[in-house]
This record gives sequence, C-alpha cells and structure tokens, in this order.
Amino acid sequence: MTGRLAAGGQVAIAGFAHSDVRRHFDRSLGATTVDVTRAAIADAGLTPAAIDGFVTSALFPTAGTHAVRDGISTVTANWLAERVGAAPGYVASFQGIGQLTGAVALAFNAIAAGAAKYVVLHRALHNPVGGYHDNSLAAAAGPQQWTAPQGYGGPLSMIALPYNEYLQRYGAEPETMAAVAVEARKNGAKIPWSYWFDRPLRTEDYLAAPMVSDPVRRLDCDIPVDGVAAFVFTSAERARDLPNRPVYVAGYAGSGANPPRLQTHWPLDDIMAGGADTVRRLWEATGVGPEDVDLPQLYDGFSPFVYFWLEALGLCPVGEAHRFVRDGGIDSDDPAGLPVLSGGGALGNGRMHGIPQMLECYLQLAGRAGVRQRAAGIAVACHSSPHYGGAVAYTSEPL
Amino acid sequence: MGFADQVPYLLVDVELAEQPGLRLIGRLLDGPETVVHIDDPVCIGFEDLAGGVAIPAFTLATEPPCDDHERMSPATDGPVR
Repeated sequence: MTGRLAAGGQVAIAGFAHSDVRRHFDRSLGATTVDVTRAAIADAGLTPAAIDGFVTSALFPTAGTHAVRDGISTVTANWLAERVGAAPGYVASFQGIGQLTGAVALAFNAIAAGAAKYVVLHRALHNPVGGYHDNSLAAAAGPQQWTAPQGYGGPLSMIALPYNEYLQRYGAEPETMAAVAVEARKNGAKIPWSYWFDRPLRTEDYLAAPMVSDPVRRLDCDIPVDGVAAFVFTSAERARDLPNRPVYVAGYAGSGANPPRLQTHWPLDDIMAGGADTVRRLWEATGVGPEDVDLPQLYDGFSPFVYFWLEALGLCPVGEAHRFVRDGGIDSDDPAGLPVLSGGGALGNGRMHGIPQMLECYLQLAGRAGVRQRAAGIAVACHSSPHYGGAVAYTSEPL
Repeated sequence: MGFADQVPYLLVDVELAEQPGLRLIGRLLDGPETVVHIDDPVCIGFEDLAGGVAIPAFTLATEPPCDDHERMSPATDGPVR
C-alpha cells in the first residue's frame, strides 16, 4: 500500500460560496453556478483572473431518461471555466467512484504537483421537471435485463436490499432510523440556505411517511433539488496569506475494487468489505484514526448509509450502529454525542451529493459556522457508500 | 418503466447454491405478504412476460426439493441473502 500521502497538509481550502437550495431555480443552473463561483473567488480574497484550475464531478445522478445538458441539468468544469473570466491551465472532471471526494483529490493533486495555483471546485445539482428517476424504458438488454423486467429499478431498490439485510442480520428495529432523519433535519433547519430551513422533522412524521421500497420510507431519501456550491483550493502556504483561516486537506481515499456485480446491486457484505478497505486507506493516507476525528460528517443520501459509515469508520462496532443511534450517539446537541450530521447532511439540506458534509467540515474548521460553531480540529467528509464512494480528512492545522 | 399496477411485489437477492458469491435478484412468486428470512432456501422458476419473454423468478423451497430435471442432486437452488 502507498501509506502516508506525501503532500498531506500542503493544500488548503481558502474560501467558499453556496446558493440557496430550492426545488427548482427560477433561472438556469449554469447562471447560478457562475454567480456562486465568482462569490467563492471573492470570498477567498481573489479575482477570477487568478484562478488557473477548475475541477468538478459533473454527474447528474438520475436513473431516469432525462437529457443531460451542460449549463442546464449539469455544469461541467469546462463550461464553467469558459464563463468566469479566468485563464485556466488545468480543467478536469472526476468520473470515477466517489464523486465529490474524487473531485477534491483532483484539486489537491493539481496544486500539490504545481499544475495549478488556485483551483475552483464546484458542484451543481439539478432537479429535472418530472419524476427524478422516471424512465421511459420499454425494452431491457445487457445488464438491465437482470433488473428492469423484475421491477428492480434505480437507487431505491439498490439501498432497500442491504438495509433489509442489516435489519435482519443485527435485529435492528426499522423505527430506529427515525433518529437519523430527525437529527439531519434538526440541523438542516438551522442552515439558512437549506431547502429544509426552519422545518425540523418529528419522529411521528417520519413514521407516517409512505413506505417507498420496504424498509425504505420516503423520508429516508434526500429530496431532489437545484443547488450549487463552490470552493477555492490553493497551497497551504498561499492560503495563509488570504483572508480566511485555511482548512487543510490531510488526505483522501476513494473506494477500490468490489466483487463483480451489476452496478446497482449492493449486498451488505460488499458495502462493509469495500468500506473497510476505503477507510483503512484513509487512515493510512492521513495518519489519523477514528479516535482522532471530532467531526465525522457521514453521507446520508439514503439514511442507512449513516449506519454503514458509522461502522466502516470504526466509530462503533459492526452491527451496533442501530443501537448507537437509538441511544442518542449521533445527537450533535449532546456533548457526549458524535456530530455526524451537524451540517444537516443530504437529508437536512437536499440532494447536494456530498456538499453538506464537505461544507460542514470547512465551516467548522475555519471557524465560520456562526451560531452553529463547535470545537473541532479533525474532520472527515464522506460521500456515497463506503464501498462505492470516498472520504476526505480535513484539519484546522496541518498534520 | 411502469410497475405501478404491479405494486406491491417482493424482490429477493439469492445466492446460487452452485456458485457461492454469485447473487441474482428476482421476484418471489409466493406473493408480496410472504415473510422471508436470510438463508431461506428457494427454487428457481420462470415468470412469463408478454412477447414470449420469460425471466428468472423464485419460490420458497418446500418439501420435496425443487423440481428441476437438469439437476443431478436433489437440492434447493439457493438461499435468500
């Protein structure tokens, strides 16, 4: 294995901007992305002319048959680079597993290698008109012949099977998951740009929501939204000369190889075995361990991911996450609790695909979380599934 | 894909007895209210769709074992995972 990341701590985030999160913007996704990017550059104390790198992961994460149009339903790094008045020499889009964390790795690598000095990372998410996963498929061929005719369609079925495995294997009560959704929405309700601002969730509302793919309920799923975020990365050395307190990238790990399966077939054993591998490499890359992390921001695009990440990161024993959650272990208002959803996550902000986790790490470590500020020195932002995603470790001081 | 008129239906994730680790998703034809557990044995069958197309589907195994003329040993086709 490769061990400690040689440039760990030598790259930092210098600024950010975030749009409001809405069901549908009243203007194009691209126009909003240009504005948010310019705001992030200004926040970092820079002008667009200084920006020489653009990275993103441009995935439009729908299983439906929506057209993907640049500037409308997604925004690529190239599209943006041409429109903010910069002179970029490094433009790249991450297309592998672990979308946002992979894009952070692109920014980190470009700066560490000297390929760029100031890199904008953006993420633009779109909620299309019509059902998010609506699919006009009338005939199935190739891999889909093993899922589509059976009615195994899209991410809901994908997560329902391993969640059901978890419930059966560990004797977990489905009702316990209400605590995850309630915690996310409690924190999202305090975030002004969140879709769920000022709208916390009650346990009874979670339990009353329709079952959409048993045991997954509607409120186990993040709500599709229009939303944009942008961050400015630079070297730690340059960041110290800019207005905001730098937040350092200690290292990252993306998921590796998994058993050969259909892309949407995620047995629990795959999730946990692949997750253990992802996390082992994160600790190796950064030199930190689970006991060092005071702000683990777990991915929650579907609420069962919170159980999977808690266990994969070693924050509780395997099979125990449901009891940990049931007993208040993720209550961010309890000094003894782990603030795993203090940024509201996807369930508390909307389907921002890893941005809420990354942003909370940044805001807390930069001392910019306002009334939500908490003491934290080492944070981890997770994205997607432990076996099919990634994680980035951030610190308030270089390690 | 239009499945609204078929809801509810029950999907199972089955590990093949012949090849541990190989898992296949299909409908359980015993009906949506059937209670299934990890390791319940199932038999494979086929569900006829329109247009002369048949897809693999499962039923819970009962005594006697699965009626499968191509199989040499009398065994179930695999357990639910």
